[in-house]
Amino acid sequence: MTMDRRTFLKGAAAGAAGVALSGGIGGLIVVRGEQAPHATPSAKPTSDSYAFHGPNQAGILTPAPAAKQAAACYAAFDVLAANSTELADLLKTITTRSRYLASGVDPSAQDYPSSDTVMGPQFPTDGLTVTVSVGSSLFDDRYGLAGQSPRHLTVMPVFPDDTPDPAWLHGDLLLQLCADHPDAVHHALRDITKRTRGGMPLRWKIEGYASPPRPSGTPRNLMGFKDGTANPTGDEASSLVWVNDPAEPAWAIGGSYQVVRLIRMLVEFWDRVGVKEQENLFGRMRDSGAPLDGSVEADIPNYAVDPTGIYTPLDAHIRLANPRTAETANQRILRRSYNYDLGADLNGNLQAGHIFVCYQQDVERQFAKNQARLAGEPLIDYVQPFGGGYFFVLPGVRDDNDWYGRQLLT
Amino acid sequence: MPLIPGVDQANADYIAYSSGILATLRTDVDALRSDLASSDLSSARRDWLAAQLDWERVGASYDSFGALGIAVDGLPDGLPEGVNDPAFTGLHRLEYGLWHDQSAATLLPIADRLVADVAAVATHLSDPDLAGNPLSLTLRVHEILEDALRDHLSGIDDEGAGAAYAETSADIDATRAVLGMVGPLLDPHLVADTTSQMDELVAALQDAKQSGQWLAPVATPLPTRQRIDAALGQVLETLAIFPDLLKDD
Repeated sequence: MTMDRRTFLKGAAAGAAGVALSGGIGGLIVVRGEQAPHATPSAKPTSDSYAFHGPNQAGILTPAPAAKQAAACYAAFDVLAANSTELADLLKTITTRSRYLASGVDPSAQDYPSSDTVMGPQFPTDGLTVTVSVGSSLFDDRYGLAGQSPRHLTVMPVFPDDTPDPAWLHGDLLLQLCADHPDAVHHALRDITKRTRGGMPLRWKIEGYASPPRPSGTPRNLMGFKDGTANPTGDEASSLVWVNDPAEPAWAIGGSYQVVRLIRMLVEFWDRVGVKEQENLFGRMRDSGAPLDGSVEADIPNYAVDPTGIYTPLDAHIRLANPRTAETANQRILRRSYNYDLGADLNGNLQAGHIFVCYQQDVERQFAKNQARLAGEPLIDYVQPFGGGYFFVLPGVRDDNDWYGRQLLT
Repeated sequence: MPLIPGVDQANADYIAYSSGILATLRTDVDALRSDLASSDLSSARRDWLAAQLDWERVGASYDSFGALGIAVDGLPDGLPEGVNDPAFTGLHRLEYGLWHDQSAATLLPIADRLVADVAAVATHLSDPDLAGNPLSLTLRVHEILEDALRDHLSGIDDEGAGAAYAETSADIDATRAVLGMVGPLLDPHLVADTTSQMDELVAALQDAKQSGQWLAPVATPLPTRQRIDAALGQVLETLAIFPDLLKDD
């Protein structure tokens, strides 16, 4: 059974049944593939797991953004493998470890136990998903992959409102690790890097966390606004996310273009701005998440009858990002973002913000078009995009004999 | 957005004030240009700082003078080639060159352009996109110092001079000037509290000088830096309520 956002919202309105369930019972087992929200982490590790094998990788629509795991890490690596054989070995190792980590294993299995006991002597899966993607730099002349690149994969450009920091940008390979608890994410990263140390040094990494619904509906970002309300769900999401264009290299079918944007939020300044101004910047009511011409979060804004921006300013964030016209329908993206907290900035401010992550069939047709509309938006005074990159999520691992990137490298 | 009585006049006062500062800026930019024309880089660095501090005192915070303001004070962020991008121009471009061993000949055309760009700001000062809209004055009260926190004390806009504290000090001058215009419209106790919090910020900045000189924040001892950050944060929390008090809704 797949619950789409609308069903989920109705459930939430009817008494937040799903939230109460998973929040109240530690160790609740969520049926594989079901997108029930387990939004409130319990104290005990959970035994959730998501199918590892399939045509597409997990961690994008499985679980879907509305039910995503509470903890995440994005770790970007540079590949030092000497040749394509070593690169293939590296990807096979990542596959083997990810399969163990995501599926759970018999502790007596040959390549087990794990080298650390962060998760204890047992090995709870904790809802872990591993999502492996590659940057355009992998398709240079090192591994004979020039000419094999997905058609639209480039180095993420510098956008007009960016404050780029080279220490937080790009990479040959990115691991997205998501789990119900932060220790499982940490453990997975440690387990994989222990076995790949010589071939892929870490370039940058950042941990994220998901907020539970407050008090209901779509979780809020660190600016206090519900974020992700308009995300596509179900079949519509699938049709926007998975690469199926015959013009793409055959190996890339079933993959997805991934955009990661590390966006600092100037939360101190934000908290010194009036609510009405904040609402006009976003285009939603802060408390309810309703569009400015609506009354509840699920209401669809009707921009066609508001051409001059009487209700929703023409430069409000949600109006620029998704104008809801026929021409922009296939430009929509699937967002699966997390909050981050890093430490203190030089000026003593909290270093906190948003790990914006989105998936799409065609980064030019989708994210880049949205981003062009957002250039210069008033909200930019309160945020600073500084890192991330463009990556391509490899197709799924089909079975026990398959491995990440097999079709690309064989 | 309706404003309380008196804001229109306060904004007229602000335009007169910033027009005067712009005249000083034009003089200092002319001097900077002459330094470069005579390959006197040492004087150019001194006159650059004077010009940069003039600009801070204008109070054009948060890019509130639009594209014309960005031409004078823009950063390389958002440009594909960063500091090497041909679209990176203005005061910070000159700062980058003067503190990265670039030649006077390289920088002279940039100074020529700056002379013209500053003149354009002066010409268009009363346009709604610059200082003409009184609503922007209500934001300027707190955004000048928000700008100091976001761009100066964070290190983001330091292209080599390490002038964050000097710039912040000039931002205090601009904020005091604006407070002098809108303060009479508001509760005298609030204005007095704000003034005393700004006095503490000024004291913290003065105490941060070593041998009469400010270092960049990153080179300043943590306790000294913290006192400045704390004082600035405190006054910003107070200034944050001014925009609403100046609106009538």
